[in-house]
Amino acid sequence: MFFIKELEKTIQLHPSYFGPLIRSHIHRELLLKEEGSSTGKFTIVCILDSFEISEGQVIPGSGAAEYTVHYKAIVWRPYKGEVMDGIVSSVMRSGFFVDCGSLQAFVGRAMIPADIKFDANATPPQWTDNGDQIIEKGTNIRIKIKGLRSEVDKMYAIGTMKEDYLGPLQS
Amino acid sequence: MSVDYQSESDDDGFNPAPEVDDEEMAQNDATTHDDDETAAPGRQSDNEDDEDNEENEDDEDEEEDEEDEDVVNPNQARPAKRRKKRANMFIDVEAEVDEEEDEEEDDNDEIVDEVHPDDLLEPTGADLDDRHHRQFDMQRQVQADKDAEQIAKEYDEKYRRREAQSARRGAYGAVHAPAPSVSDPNIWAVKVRPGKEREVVMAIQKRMDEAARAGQRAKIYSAFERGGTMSGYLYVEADAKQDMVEVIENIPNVFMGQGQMAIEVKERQDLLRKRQRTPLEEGKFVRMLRPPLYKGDLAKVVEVHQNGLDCTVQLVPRLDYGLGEDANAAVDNKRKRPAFGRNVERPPQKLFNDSEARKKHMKFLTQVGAGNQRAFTYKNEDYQNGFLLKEVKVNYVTSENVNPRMEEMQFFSVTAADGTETLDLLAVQAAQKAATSGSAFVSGDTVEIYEGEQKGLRGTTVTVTGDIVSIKVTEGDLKGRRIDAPVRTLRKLFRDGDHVKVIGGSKYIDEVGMITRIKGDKVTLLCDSTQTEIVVFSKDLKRAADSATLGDESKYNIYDMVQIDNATIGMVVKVDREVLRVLDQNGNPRTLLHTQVTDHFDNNRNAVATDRDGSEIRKDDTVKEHGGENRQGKVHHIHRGALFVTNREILENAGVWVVRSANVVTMAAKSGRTQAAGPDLSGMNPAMQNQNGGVMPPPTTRPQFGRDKLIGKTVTIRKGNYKGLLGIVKDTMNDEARIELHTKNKQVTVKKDILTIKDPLTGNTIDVGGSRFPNRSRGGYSGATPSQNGPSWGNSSRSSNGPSWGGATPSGGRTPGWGGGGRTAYGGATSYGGATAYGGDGSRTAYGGDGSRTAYGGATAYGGNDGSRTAYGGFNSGSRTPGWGASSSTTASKSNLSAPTPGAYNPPTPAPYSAPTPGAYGAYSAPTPGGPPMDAPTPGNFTAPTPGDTTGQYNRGYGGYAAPTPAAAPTPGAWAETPGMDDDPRYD
Repeated sequence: MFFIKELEKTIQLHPSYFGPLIRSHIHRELLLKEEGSSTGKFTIVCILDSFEISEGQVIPGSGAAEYTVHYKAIVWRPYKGEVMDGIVSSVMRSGFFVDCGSLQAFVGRAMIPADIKFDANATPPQWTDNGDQIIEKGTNIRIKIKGLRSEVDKMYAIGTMKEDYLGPLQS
Repeated sequence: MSVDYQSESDDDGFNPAPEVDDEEMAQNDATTHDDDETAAPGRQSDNEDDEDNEENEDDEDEEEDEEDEDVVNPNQARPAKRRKKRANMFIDVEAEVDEEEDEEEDDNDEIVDEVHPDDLLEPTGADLDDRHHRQFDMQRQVQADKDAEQIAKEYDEKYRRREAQSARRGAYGAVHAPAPSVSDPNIWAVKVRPGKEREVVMAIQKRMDEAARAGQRAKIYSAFERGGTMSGYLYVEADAKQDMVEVIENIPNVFMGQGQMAIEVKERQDLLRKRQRTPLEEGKFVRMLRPPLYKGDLAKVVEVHQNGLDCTVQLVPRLDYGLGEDANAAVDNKRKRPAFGRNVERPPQKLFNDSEARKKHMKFLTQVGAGNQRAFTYKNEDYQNGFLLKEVKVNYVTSENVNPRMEEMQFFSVTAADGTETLDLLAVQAAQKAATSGSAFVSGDTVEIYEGEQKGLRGTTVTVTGDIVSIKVTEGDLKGRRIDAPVRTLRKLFRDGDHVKVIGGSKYIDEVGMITRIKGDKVTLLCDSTQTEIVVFSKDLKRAADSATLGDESKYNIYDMVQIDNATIGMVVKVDREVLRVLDQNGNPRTLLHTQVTDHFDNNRNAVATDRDGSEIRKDDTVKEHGGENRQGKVHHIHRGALFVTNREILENAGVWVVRSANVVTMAAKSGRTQAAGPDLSGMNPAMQNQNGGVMPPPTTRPQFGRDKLIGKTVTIRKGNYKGLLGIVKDTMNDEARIELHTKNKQVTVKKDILTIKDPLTGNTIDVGGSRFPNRSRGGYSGATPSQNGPSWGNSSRSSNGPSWGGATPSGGRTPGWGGGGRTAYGGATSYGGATAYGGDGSRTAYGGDGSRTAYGGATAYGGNDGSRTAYGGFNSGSRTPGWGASSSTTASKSNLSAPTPGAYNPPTPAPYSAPTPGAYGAYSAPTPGGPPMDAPTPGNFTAPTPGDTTGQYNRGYGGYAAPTPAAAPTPGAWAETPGMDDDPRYD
């Protein structure tokens, strides 16, 4: 689910950057470092334009200046039970991985309907019901999140496609 | 006689309730008969008595046979009284004197007591008979004396009492079976060949049958064996030892020689008590009880033998292969067992190693199997796949409280053909079932009752006390209530997607993962660390914190680099409690103890490797395997051409694989690397850093093409031993020349640097390039550029390559090329053509102006600009302006004096040159230099010193510096041009 969230980031600037361009430096730094990053709970999708930069404060000892930037960003946070679309990134006998944006989800064998079986002989290997449902690398797929785990900078999920309306999308 | 194990296993000990009734009845019957007999003496004549007795005995034989069958069945009551049970109620054994009668008789006289057969442990037959007769006579006498009425009354009273008694007993419920007493027949334990007990019993049975057929009285009451618990023993119940011996002697497999042991009265009961044994099953884990060497060791049942008494177990042997033996010790056969209480140290558990055994005990070792079947016989014991296969009696092992520990289990994991190790989960479960205790539950667990009346109830645990868990019900009608439930009826409840940790029970201990499937009490989870699915029991799981790490005890983490030995490093791909799984630099996975590796100090963070196309690879670059499996991944570590690459999507070795750098193609766009991240704001501005001048030293050697022009020239040597001598260059090598001296007929080898070329005719110095710009090299560069001096010659030719300019040569060495350029290839490929034009002027002095340029030269690209300016002004004064470029400022003045040091060009900043700035050069070629240089500012680049953003400062700086320079004033043209810089908004 997407949210607008107010966030804060501290940026350090080396003295050699002090000058009229400070603001643009900080702006660039903010976009570069924050957009697309994941905090473990959510992913920052887009930083909205208006943001405030605090007064810089010179850090004793190093001479660098520290700026605290307040900004608003569109963030995405996955929830347990959320249905989302993703792209299959790898297919294995034990299931397959789906990339849903910044979230990597695993759909285990137990979470795949019984009629969809693994076919190792196909190239590339795929899960298929020998009908129109084929899951191979690159397939667009809709899954439901069963469990979430977050690490410092990344999120992992367990997904299922064992419910109605889940599974590979016709494209 | 059927010795039935099935029935044996029913119950332990007695099951008296129904039985006592039987017995009661039997007793009743017996007494009835007695009474009958006594009551109707007339019916039996005196002389019939003997016959009667005979008959009775015969009967008894038969009955005894039956009893024998029964006796072994523990459901039946104790054997001592068994004989009282009569099939034929009208026939009784001799002298079944009831207690009542005893009492009565006690009153009468003590003789009766004396003659009671039960009281005599070893009565002699004849005496006994006599007494019987007398006793009967007396009884009859008494009876006869009574009248019928009295008799009836007696009966009445007697039976009423009995009924009352049995009623009373029934009311109490629990009934005590009469315990054997000294008055019962004795029981002897007879040694027989183990395993043959039943055969012996059958033989006795046969013997009794024969005796019965022959009309002989049976001498024993029963014979039984106790099955597995006391194999090798047979128990015979008889009145006299002699009777017993008669029956059993000469039966095969009976060891008469060892004597028979009478069982004490109080122990007799125990003979029928049965210890409950859980039946052994193949594949189950058991603990050894005996022999002492293996006592307490975990073993796996391989086979349970047909006879039910022996089994073959798989053990981890404890062998010292004779290493602990004292070779000089005298053979001591006398002491068969070590002195009591001496605690002999057992060798540690270790899989059998035949090479160890060969060292000292070759003679005891024979190989049984062929090929890779690793079967050996060592000291008469069989070893297979390192395990000891030992045949033991079932009572040497116990299947209770096995509770295998992880360390022990490791030995028993089954290694499949593909090298994967698996444990037989079912066997483990069976072994651990008994271990279920409250300790597996912690407060807050979600549990479900899966057995008993409250089946299906779900709740969270509140407290755990011993084996009782108190649950707060969370679902259903009882919601909110607290319920106590025994641990064994509980199982932990998880849901799909729960993040759990394995807390025990299997080799996956400490593994953390998310649940993908739950089936019964088996839970499948996807490990966080390995991305593989494992199956564990729910009781071994615990809800995990959101992120947990595996192997807290270990100082190593997954993906750590470790040093395996001096030449080998590896990457940790799995951290177990005991071992690390490490992938070494050759791509071989190894399993090592934590102590076998040391930290790898990564002293080369910036290690660079080249891929198969020669592109550089750094850490964190994405590379793709060329050929092979075309795997792709991120470089995690570079070690001597071996790349440790990771890819989470690969399951094997935690996604790590090792590849030679020559076998991969880098996926990173060239030069994209530094661009991508942008400047590091917390570090020095890269533009500023470049100010420091060339960091890179000039290359010492350069390939030289064609014939060295020095050859054949007449030179003098300026330094060294041969200083001042004249000679001709015969040959040159890299930076040396072989010179044939004029003075002596001798060839010497000296450095080219110290040669000065002379005109062979005039003797004048021909300074190749150097003469034109005599001190150019000195000009400021003297320090930095060693090559300036003589070598101008060589240098010039080099610089004629044009590109060398841009190249990596910030040094003065290149500069000379500038001057020399006029001569040779100068016009060459590059924009130096422009410079050539200058050269064409020949107005070298004009270059003096360059001095000023030099000054500005510090500013890099502006050099071009300056050039034009200089041209305009040609001011010496301009040259005076101390270049704001600090590095060249001093130089500038010097060069100014000395002359046209093109030093400006060398300058300081290699980077500007390295980034080809055509504009700058263009400046030279263009006669009207003003405009173009401005138009073409060096491309915005972070590395380039004059990039978009940062340039602003520069420009400004330039302006700022320029202002004070006197040169600025006289060169209005130049300044006119400057506004061009206004393109850059930050200029002002």
